[in-house]
Amino acid sequence: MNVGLPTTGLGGIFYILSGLLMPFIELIYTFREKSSTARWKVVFRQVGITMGILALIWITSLVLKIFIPNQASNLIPVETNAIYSISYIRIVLASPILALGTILGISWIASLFLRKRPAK
Amino acid sequence: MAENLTVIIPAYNEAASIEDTIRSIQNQTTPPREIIVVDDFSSDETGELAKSLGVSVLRPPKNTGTKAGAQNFALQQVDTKFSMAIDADTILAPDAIEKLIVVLEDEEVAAACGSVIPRYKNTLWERGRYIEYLFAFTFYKPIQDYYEKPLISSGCFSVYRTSNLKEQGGWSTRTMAEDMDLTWSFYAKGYKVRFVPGAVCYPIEPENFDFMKKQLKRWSHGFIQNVMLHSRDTSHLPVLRSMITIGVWDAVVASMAYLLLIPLLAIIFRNPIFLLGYIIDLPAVMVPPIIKGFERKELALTLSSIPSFFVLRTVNCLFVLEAVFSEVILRKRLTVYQKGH
Repeated sequence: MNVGLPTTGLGGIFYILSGLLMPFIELIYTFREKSSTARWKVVFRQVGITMGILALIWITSLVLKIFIPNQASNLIPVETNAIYSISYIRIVLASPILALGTILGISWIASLFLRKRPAK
Repeated sequence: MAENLTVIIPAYNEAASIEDTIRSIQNQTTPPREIIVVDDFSSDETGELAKSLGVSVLRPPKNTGTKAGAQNFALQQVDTKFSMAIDADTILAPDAIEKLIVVLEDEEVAAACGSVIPRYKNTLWERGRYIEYLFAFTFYKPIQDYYEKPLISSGCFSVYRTSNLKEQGGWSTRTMAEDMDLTWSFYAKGYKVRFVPGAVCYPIEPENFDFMKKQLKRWSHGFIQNVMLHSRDTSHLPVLRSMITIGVWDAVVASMAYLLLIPLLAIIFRNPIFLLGYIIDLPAVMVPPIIKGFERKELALTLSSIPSFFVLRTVNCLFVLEAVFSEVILRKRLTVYQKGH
């Protein structure tokens, strides 16, 4: 039932972003009077899990920072300071989201060619 | 609503488990009108055992070859508004049907599925699957349901609106994952599928590598076959299309990273630090299973099972890549259904 590799790669980021979007979507539903307490319960639970995952990813990165710097400077042929410069961290953080956006963009463009609306 | 429900249980040599399955259905808070066991030409006592429990037993003239074939054999006899599929090695929580069937009050809902928890959690494979399910049914599936697109209505326990099911021609045998095929076909036709976390079933998962490899092979090939089959008719559904695209990407790229990139980097740079890549997401993986394990009062079991998940995931990569290579590059389709629980 669950082909694929949970949390690995972009799938994890996709579901984290989807989870973070839920309260905003639910707010819109609330304004349109299509929401309910049961729906908000689901939203809070999933956002809570998502925040928990993000918190642990952040803690992991802190732990790795303590142990990895010496290793990284030996492996990557750039100045050690540059590896942890703000711009470098920004690139590292942004690249998976950019990759995700690119892939979803390509799939959207492909869908324009593939589109075949079914008759209900 | 359950008085308008027929349960179909396809069974091939399931004498060891069929009794538990039937009793768990008979003991539901809202029992169904009829239970049909399709004894798919078993060579053991499956049919006799089922008959002794007072349910209808159908036996096709020869083995149908697939689970879908056996289910379709019974579907012809169904005249209730709702049909339920359950595997012959799966038992239900006492209120599973009651909780699941209510979402079909919405006429646009064609199918509904519940949570899946392995019945036994003894071997490495069962424990790996246990964590995989806790993760998926606590984190992924509720999000998919919120966006109205659960990726699969699991074949081991799902309820369908019979008219919608018959409109699709029943369960298709054209792929190795008939549940995924049916779910995506419903979406393509504009119907809804729902996930109800509180409706819980307990299947027997593969306890050894021999069974596990059959299941992983069938699922991996089934996934790729369905992606190829439904790429057109699901392209107008942005959420489903995105989930499938990301699923394919991870299945291919993450598998290659696991099996090739990580060991290669460790060898090239002569540094084992890269092997951390296998478990770098351990803390993130732990969150949903720990929450669910705590709720189920199985926290110790959950924590001790987490290492098994990483073994199963790495093995899974092999089967996913094999399926992509066979189905897409060699154009060699898997067509023989091998039972692996």
